[in-house]
Amino acid sequence: MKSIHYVFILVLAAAIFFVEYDLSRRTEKLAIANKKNQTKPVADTNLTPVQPVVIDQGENAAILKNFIGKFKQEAVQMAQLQNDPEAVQVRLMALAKEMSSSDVQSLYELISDDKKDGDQRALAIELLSLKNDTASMLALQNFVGNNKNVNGNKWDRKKELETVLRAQAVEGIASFPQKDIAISTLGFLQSKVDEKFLSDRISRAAAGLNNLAPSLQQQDEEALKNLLE
Amino acid sequence: MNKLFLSALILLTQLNFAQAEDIPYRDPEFTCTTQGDANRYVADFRIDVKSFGGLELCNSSVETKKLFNDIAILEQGAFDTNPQNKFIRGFVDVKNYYGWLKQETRGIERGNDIPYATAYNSGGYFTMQDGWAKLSTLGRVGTFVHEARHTAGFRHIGCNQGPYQGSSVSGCDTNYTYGGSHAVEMEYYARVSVQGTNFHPVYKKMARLMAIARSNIFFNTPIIQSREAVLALTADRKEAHLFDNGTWYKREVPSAEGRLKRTSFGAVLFDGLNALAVELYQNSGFGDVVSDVYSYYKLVAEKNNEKLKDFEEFDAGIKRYVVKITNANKLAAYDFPNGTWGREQAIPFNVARTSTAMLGKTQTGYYLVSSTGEVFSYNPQNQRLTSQSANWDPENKEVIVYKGQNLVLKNNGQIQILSGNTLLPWSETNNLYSGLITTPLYDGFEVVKE
Repeated sequence: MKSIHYVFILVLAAAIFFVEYDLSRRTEKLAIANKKNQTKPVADTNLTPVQPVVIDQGENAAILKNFIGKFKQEAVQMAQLQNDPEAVQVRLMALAKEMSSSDVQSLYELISDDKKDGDQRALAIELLSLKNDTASMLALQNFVGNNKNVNGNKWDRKKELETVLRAQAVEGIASFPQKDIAISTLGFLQSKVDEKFLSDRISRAAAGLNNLAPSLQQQDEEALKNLLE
Repeated sequence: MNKLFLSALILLTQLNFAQAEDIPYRDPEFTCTTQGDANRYVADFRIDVKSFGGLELCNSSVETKKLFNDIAILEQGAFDTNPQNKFIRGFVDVKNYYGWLKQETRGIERGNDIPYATAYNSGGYFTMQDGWAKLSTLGRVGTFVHEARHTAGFRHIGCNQGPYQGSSVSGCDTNYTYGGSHAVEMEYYARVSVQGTNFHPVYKKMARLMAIARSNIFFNTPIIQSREAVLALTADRKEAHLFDNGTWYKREVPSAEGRLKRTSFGAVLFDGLNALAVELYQNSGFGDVVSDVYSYYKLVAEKNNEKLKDFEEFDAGIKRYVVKITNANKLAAYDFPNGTWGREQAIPFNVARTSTAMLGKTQTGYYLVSSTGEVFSYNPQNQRLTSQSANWDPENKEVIVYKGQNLVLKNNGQIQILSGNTLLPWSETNNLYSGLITTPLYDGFEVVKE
C-alpha cells in the first residue's frame, strides 16, 4: 500500500513538472512571437517619435494589479481588434467582480462626466452592468435619470454618444438578476426621462422583462439585419 | 487513501497559483502600432502627423495613435457575411473598407476651425476637429467612414424632424437608400453589430446602439421605427380590431367604459380615472382588466382620486411630453427632470374634446376643441395655445393620421379616409366602430393571429 502511495506521488509530481515546464515554454514563445511582430519605435528622418513610451516594469506591475490599472488597460483594448471576443467577455466579468464600492463610485463619476474618454465611459457602464449589485444598479439609474452631468450642465441631447451611453445603461439595468428590481427601476426612470429615444428604450426593456417582447438586443439585431438586407 | 487525495489536492492547488503568476496580464506594448504600419497609414492617407501631436506608436492618449488604431480597425475588422445572400446591400465592400477609404481620402489633418463640427471634408481633405478627439473609438471610426463618403459628392440637407429640425445646419440625408454619409456610417455600425467577429464586445454593443440611435435622427425618412397600426373599438365595445400591414386581427378589450387612447407602448381605455391596457400582440383568453403600467398613464394611478378630462402622451422632436386636463379646464405638463407635475394653467374655454390630429394635416400634435368647435393647437415647448383656422366638424368623432393620410371616425361609426379634399369610405373595413387610434407596434414583436 505504501509503495502505491509513493508511486502515485511520483507520477503526480512528474505530471506537475511537465505541465509547468510546458506552460513556461509556451508563455515564453508567445512573448517572443508577439515581440517579433511589434518592432519598437525607431527614429526616422521624416517621422520622429515625440513622446517615447517608457515603462517602469515594477511600477507597471503594481498598477496592473489594482482595479483602476486593469480598467485603463481594458479601455485601451477597446480600440484593438480581438482574436477571442468571448475571452474578453470572461475577462470583463472577472474585472467587474473585482470592483469595490469606491471603484463603483469612481466609475459613476467617470460616466457622468462628458469630458472624459468615451471608451472609458462605455467600458465603465459595461462593468457596472456586469457587477450586478445594488450600488452599481443605483449608479446606472442615477446616470440615466439625472438631467445634469457632474459638472452641473444638462447633458447634451444632440450628442449621440450621450444618448447611446444612457441607452447602454438602460440595458444594464434590464439585465439585473432580480427582475422585480429591474422592472421597478425602469418604471422609476420612465417618469424621469423625457428624451424620446431613451424613453422608448426603457419601455422596450420593461416589455422584455415582462415577457411581452424579446430582449432589447434581439429587437435591435433583428431590425439591423433587415436593414442590411 | 485520504492522505493521498489530500496530497493531490494541495499539489493541484499549488499548480493553479503557479499558472496565474506566470502568464502576464497584458503587456502594454502588445497594443503598439508597428513602424511599418504607421509609415503605410501615413503614406496611404497623407496624414499630417505633426498636427495630431507627432508620431506616436504606443500611447493611445496621443491623437496620432488614436488615428492609427482607427485605421487598423477599419483595415482588419472581420465580418461574417453569408455569400449566398444576394440581397445584402452594400454601399461599401465589406471586405475592403481600407481600400475604399484610401481611394476617398486625399489627406487628413487635425484642426479646430469649426468648433461645432466633429470633422469636415473639403475635396477629399479631412480635417478632424476637437469634437473628433473627444469621441469614443467607435465614434471616430464612424466619423472617418462618414467623411470619406462625402468625397464622392454626397451632401446633407436640412432636417425635417429630430433634434436638428429647424436649425440652420444641414445635417440630414433624405433616406437610407440615398446611400449618403449617414447611410454608409450606419451600414458600418450595423455590420459590426450583426456580422462582426473580432471586435471588442463593448465596441460591438456600442455599434448596435449607435446604429439604432442614429437611425431616426439623421434621416428625413426614419429607417428603423415602430410601425404604425390602426386600432378600432367596435361599436358594441366587445372587442377591438387591429389593422397591421394589411391584415385585421381581433383583440380583447377590458369590459369597461372609457375612450380608446394611444400610448407610447400601445393602447388603453381611459375613463378619466383609470387606464386599462389593451393587449395588442396576443389575446390572453382571460377577461381580467389590467392597469396600464408600461406607459405614462401610470402617472394617472399615482393620483387616483383626481378624475381628469383628458390625459395625453406624445412626442415632439426628441422629447416626450405628458399633459393632463382637469375637469376645471386646467392644463398641466409633466416636469420630467423634477419628477412632478408642472403648474396648472387655466384654459380660457371649456374643452369639449381633444385630438392628436386635425383634418387636412398629416402632422400629429395635441389639439383642444372648444364647445363651439374652435380648435386650438397646444405647443408643448412654450405651453401656449394657438387658434386654428378650421373648426371641428361635429360629425367627426376621431381624426387620426395613418401612413400619411387622415382617417376619420364619424359619429355613425363609419371610418372614412380623406382623399384630396373629399372624405370617402375607407375600403379596408365596412364595420362600425366607437373608437379609433393609431398605435405603435415594435419591430421585434410578433402580432399573433387567432
